[in-house]
Amino acid sequence: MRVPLVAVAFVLLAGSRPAAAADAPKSWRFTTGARAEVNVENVSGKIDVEAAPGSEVLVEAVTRGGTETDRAQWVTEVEGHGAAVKVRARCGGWASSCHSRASVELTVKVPPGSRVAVHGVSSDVRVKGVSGELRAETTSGDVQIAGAGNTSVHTVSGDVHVDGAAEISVKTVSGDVTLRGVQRESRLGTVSGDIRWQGACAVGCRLAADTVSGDLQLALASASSFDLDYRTRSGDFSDGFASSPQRSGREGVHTRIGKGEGSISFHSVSGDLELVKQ
Amino acid sequence: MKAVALAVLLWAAPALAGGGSATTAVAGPVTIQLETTSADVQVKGTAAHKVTLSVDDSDIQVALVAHGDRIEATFDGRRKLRSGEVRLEVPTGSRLELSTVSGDLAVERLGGEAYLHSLSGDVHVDGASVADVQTISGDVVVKATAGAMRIKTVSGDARVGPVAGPAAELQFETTSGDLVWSGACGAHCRITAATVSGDLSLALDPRSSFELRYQTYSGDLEDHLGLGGVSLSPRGLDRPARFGAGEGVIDCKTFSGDLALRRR
Repeated sequence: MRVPLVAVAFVLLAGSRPAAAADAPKSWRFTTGARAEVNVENVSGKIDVEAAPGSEVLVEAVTRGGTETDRAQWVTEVEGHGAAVKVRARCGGWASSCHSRASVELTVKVPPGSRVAVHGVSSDVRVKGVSGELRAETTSGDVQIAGAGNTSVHTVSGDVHVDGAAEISVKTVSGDVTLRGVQRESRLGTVSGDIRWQGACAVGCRLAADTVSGDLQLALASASSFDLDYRTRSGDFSDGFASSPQRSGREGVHTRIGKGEGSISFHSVSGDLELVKQ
Repeated sequence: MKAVALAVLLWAAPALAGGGSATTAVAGPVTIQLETTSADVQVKGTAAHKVTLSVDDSDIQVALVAHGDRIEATFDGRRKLRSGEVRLEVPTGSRLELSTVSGDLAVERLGGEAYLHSLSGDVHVDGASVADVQTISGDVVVKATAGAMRIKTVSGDARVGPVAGPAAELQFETTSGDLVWSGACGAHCRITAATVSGDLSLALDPRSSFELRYQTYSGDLEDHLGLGGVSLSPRGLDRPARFGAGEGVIDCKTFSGDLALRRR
């Protein structure tokens, strides 16, 4: 019996756990210019957006999981007009409900300067290297962003991780937020999600965070220079910079680190604030 | 409730108050209200016909003030204690109304109704007739409470049980908190749970008898009970599943939260 080499390779690569069944990938290509406007919507499958040099938008969709009948219920609609590209994965018809165990995984490559809007429901979202305006929204999916420009993220319970952005606005209900390397302004709000902000805060840095019970940890470069205003009902303040507060009492702390060139404010009902010197 | 009100009204003995503690005699179970910002509160039910309140700072003037059918705790004349630790002893069967921003609340052998609100403090109830708990991010533990329970959180997790008897009543609502529940669900049992992304884990006594409804957008069902004939889609169960004679009701709605059913 002759066994095709491809089949042998597949078995060796897959190991003992077979990969989830998947349809053949479908792909689309649009010439948009360097500043495409890309809108991506999905429900539960992951969304992966990555910047690629050039003036084209490439879309790849793979329907994965469940039976063939499950996968057949998913439709990926992709359309492009000039600079605008819309991608939407949906299950079932407009009037019928979805009964499928499959999901669609979307991979989109865009020119770096593109303007991108991503909407997931329970989809995890990953965006890398997009320097144009970026908007990401999920209900429970996590959001991971790297090397972004002006960015806004909204989730209900999804966690948010950002590694490098010019300016950012993040709002969650209970999702935790981790930010590293934000260059200018960070506007952050959660109900109970904790926030960790890591980087240097000096000239041009502005960070404003509001939470109900979420904590804020600032892991700051030792060369940081900013004014800090912390207002709280019952949160605790931990100061790794050992600063000399101008105001420190029941309702919060006002202090200056270095020359006070940047600005950090944190308002919280019971969230703690921790300054960590790096 | 009427009995509680009557007990306070009939017994108008003045409270003995002083630095750090106060005691007042009562005829039986009472309704008591207490508020803190970040102070922790421990409450115990006792057989004694008195209410005793103490704080860990003897400089604070503590008082128990009767207002109609309820007793209110005050600290230096204010209704809210900012920080520290509070200990409260009440007659078994009393009704408790505690509120805190970030203090932890612990209630033991109360035997009466517990209404507990916390923003980020954790809540622990061991032995109440009714538990009504609301938190934002505080975790909740409820034990030895056979009556109705209502737990609402944003991200706080809840652990309930084991619940005695087949007639468990639980209403659980959360955004992302998880629920772990154990007990039996039979006649007159009603468990409802609604989450966005919080997972639900129910450990059920094999003598249980209930109908299960599970609606979800993208959550998974893990069935170790052997419900049989269950058909799950990403929208949940196509139709209610039955375990035993189907006397009680378990009604779960999640957005992306999973439901796990286990045998206790």
